[in-house]
Amino acid sequence: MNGIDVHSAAPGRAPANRAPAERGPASGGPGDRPTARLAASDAAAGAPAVHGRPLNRRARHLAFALMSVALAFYFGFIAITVYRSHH
Amino acid sequence: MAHDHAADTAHHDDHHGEPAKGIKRWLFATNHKDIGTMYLVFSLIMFFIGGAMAMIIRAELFKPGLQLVDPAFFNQMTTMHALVMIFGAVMPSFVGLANWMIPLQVGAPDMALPRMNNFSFWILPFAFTILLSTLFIPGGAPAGGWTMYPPLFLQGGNYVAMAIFAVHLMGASSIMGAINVIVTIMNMRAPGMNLLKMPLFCWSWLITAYLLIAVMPVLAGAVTMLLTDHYFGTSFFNAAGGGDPLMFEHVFWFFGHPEVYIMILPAFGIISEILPTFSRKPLFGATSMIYAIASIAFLSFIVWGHHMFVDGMPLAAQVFFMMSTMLIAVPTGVKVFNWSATMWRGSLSFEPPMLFALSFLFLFTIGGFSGVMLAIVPVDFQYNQTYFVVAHFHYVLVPGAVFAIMAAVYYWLPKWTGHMYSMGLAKTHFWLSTIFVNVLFFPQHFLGLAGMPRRIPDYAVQFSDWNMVSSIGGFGFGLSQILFVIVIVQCVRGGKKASAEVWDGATPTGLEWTLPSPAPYHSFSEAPEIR
Repeated sequence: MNGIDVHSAAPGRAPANRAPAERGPASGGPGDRPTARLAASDAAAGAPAVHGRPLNRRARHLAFALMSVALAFYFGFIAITVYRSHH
Repeated sequence: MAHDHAADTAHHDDHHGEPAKGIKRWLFATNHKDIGTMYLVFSLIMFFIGGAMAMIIRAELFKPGLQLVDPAFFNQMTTMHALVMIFGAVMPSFVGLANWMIPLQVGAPDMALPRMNNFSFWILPFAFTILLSTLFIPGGAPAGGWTMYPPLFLQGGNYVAMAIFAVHLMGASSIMGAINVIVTIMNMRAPGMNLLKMPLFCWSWLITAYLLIAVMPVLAGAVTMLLTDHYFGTSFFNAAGGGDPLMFEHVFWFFGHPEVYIMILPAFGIISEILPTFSRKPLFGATSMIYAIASIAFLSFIVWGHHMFVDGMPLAAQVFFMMSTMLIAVPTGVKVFNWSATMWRGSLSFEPPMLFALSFLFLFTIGGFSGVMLAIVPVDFQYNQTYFVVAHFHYVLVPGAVFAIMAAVYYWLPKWTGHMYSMGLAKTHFWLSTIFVNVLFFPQHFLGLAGMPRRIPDYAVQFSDWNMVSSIGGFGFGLSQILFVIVIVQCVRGGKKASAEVWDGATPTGLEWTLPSPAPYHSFSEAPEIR
């Protein structure tokens, strides 16, 4: 629990050392958030949170953003091809 | 660069648990090292399956006439060999290396999204079971080439749905792997490791991951439309229904050319790690190497038309694609000169990783030169669909990508296993591979220039001699790879203990060398400090 948070302690990055209440408890209770639960279960699965701090939200948001880009490319290229193949 | 974490990490390893026992360790693996190992073992198996198909091809071509297999099966072999080698051997092996090395190099405890990591690996065996099982269904496996061009591909039988489903799964796996790499690098670098301090292997993979996210969905979209054309009566690529088969080629190669760089950019990163180590000098022009990789990645999106010169396109488009393709030689030249300058007046030693890296440098450059030749429109008109093209891309992919993978395995194997391997056997493997790969592929330039078409099971008698030489090279190269397996198995089972630095006397750089060998199951549970 006393390690440096490698997820966000790199220079130029906002510190992730939020108070536990802000992050929300790992499961149930007031302040609980799905991301906190997911992060806790990631940690239980042997995820990088082994040094005491769950994977921060930015990582999860980046993953969803990249997946959205991939999906947009998939449907975008189908749309372009449908249009081009008949015009 | 960083303080020594060997002792710290060994201590922390104790209270983070040991790996699960038995099959559960692998089925439910979330540890980046376990998943990396699974990727590497999977790709080695695929390498031998794809290699066996290549042996069938070379055995059939050993002399003119039809002797071993019927032409339909020969076509299945050429198609499946390509699909297995590209999607099953080369790409997963780079993902395996990324899994193993990126967390170690950026000072992270694991990949950012370990369960997705598990999923992205485990869909691969299903994908290839589906793809390979088409060999046993009525009508056989895909036989129209790995490019799956309509209308030929659409005239296929039962394999169409299975091959397309397999390609979708491979694409999903690659995209998930790429997301994991980007998120890990962007969020989990150790304090003080800014992007320009990041090792070149991580840089090359970061750029490759963006390429993957940009182009794998394009392939998926194209094959989805093939599927609906075949089963649901659409006519996207069916001229009879108002569609355009040429459109598929454009979409496919918009994926296909960046795909070539997906298979070579991580190799550039590996070579950029190995040459400085065994030259005992820092990498010459590290920042320009990063810009060169990024430039190559950008240019890869605007050159796809060079695969389609003979399909017919406006002269302006031909000139554009010719010039943009030739432009790639500039950043590639920067890299080759920087690698050479790294070795210049260095204190070189020739351990197996360095030997493979040097071989890469010479032989990949040959593949690059023949690529520049093929970029010239009138020359391409002559060489297209000949064995010259086969020689070109095999020089890029075998002594290029595959040699870089072997170099990486020989470089990091002691770090993974904690043991040194047999230098004698590894060097024998290197020399046999290098000699036979040239015996195998160099004569194919002559065959292509003389006009031998690719993807044929029989040929005119004037091509006999060089085909025989090429086949001998093929069998020699294939058999030499047994040595690779022997070296790895021996090293995993035991051997001289490797130090944390592994390459004593050399000057390896990077956080992975601050960990003990073998790297502990949970590494960097406390972030190292980068100065």
